[in-house]
Amino acid sequence: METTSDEALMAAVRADDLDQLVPLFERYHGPLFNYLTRLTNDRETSEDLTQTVFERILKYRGSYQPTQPFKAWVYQMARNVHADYWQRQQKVRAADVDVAEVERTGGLRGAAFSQMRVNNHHDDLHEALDMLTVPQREILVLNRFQGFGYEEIGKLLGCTAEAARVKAHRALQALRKIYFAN
Amino acid sequence: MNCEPLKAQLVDYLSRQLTAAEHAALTAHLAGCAECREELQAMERVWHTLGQAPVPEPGPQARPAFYAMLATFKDELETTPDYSLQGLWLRLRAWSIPRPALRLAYSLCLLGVGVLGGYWLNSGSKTAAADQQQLAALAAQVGEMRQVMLLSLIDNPSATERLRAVGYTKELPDPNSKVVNALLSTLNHDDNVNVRLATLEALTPLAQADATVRLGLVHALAQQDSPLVQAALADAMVQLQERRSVPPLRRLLKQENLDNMVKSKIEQSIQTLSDGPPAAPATPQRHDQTQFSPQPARAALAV
Repeated sequence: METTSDEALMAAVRADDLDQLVPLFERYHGPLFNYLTRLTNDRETSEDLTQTVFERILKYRGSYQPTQPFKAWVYQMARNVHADYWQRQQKVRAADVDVAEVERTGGLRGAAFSQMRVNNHHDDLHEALDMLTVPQREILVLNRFQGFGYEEIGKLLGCTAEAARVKAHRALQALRKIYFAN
Repeated sequence: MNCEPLKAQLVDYLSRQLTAAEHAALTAHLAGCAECREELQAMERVWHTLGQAPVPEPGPQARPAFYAMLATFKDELETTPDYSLQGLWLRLRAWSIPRPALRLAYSLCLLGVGVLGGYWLNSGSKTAAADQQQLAALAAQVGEMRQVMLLSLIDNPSATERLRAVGYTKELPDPNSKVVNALLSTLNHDDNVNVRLATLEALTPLAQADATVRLGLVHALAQQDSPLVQAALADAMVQLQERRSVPPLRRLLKQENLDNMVKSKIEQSIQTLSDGPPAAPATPQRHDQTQFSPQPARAALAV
């Protein structure tokens, strides 16, 4: 089971052998949760979103092409799940002006509610990450934490590897500026 | 010196994605450029801080939640009816039915098949007869429709349509008096020679059995002015052995503008009709005529 490739497993899932999703879950639910947590900065939401990703894998298993890398496919799905969540969140925020006000003015105060803040040092880092735009944060997360090469990032974001590299560089510089300004 | 392109490589330097040559060039530059060294240090701090950030681990409830969801999907997959033959067979096999009940069902099925078969065989002949009746009724209806069509077409101003109408009589099994009258009046009054000829052609076979038609043809002799039709009628008279046509034929001969060809033809016909055909003896000819005798009497009355 260990040696079976992601693609072969997913092809089996596609052919209604749903049990083959278990090894894929074991391989990917950690990294996906990690990715989504760094994007949303919220454990509970990320757990829900990770679950949603696997639900969508099952639901849309028919759309998987065995020739495409499973990793790219599943991250694309995770990106979409996050984008949907982000849009819903924007609507909620637009409806609740007070919350939006708090978000804009007192970014650091939000730290008190976050479960995942371990110490001040990391708090600051996450605050800084939070202040990046979503695309910047995403590219940093993919590059630094998910071990994606520029080629893969380019494919995922729909740009060239070189453009992905420039974007990663700019994102890191932006983070540096925010981090050292605090 | 322009440091910007080298600064872009710092991320790759930190993530060790530079080629050996790029790496060497960057280190050489860093040795001589304090600004870039500072930038690298700052970047390095951010990079390492990022790296030290705790890796968030999914909670303990993630796995059970996943398995629960997987189970729901599997249930759905199983309950979704599989309409393929194999799926049906598998579901039939999966049914646990007690053996006696199964045997009872089999025997009932066989019995039902037997009863149905017997019933079908019995009723088969009846339905065949009914079919025949229906067919006959349909054929009769088609014949009627043809008649109606003929009657309406025969008055058509177009000669082609009238020809077509006359052609229909050949397909009618037994034309009634209405049709015969229509044909006779066409023979006498139609402007077109071709139509008249076709009508004559259609009437001749009818005249074999119907005395009204014979009489009609005899009367038609006096009405014709076209030499073609006159000749054809004379031929028809010979063919029918119609002696009553001799007086009208003689009267035709007296006409002044008669075509010479027709004249000789009519003379020949009168000759044949008076003498009888050379091959046939006289008595059978008489006999032949008496065979139809009741009909001409009636027909004469009718006309």
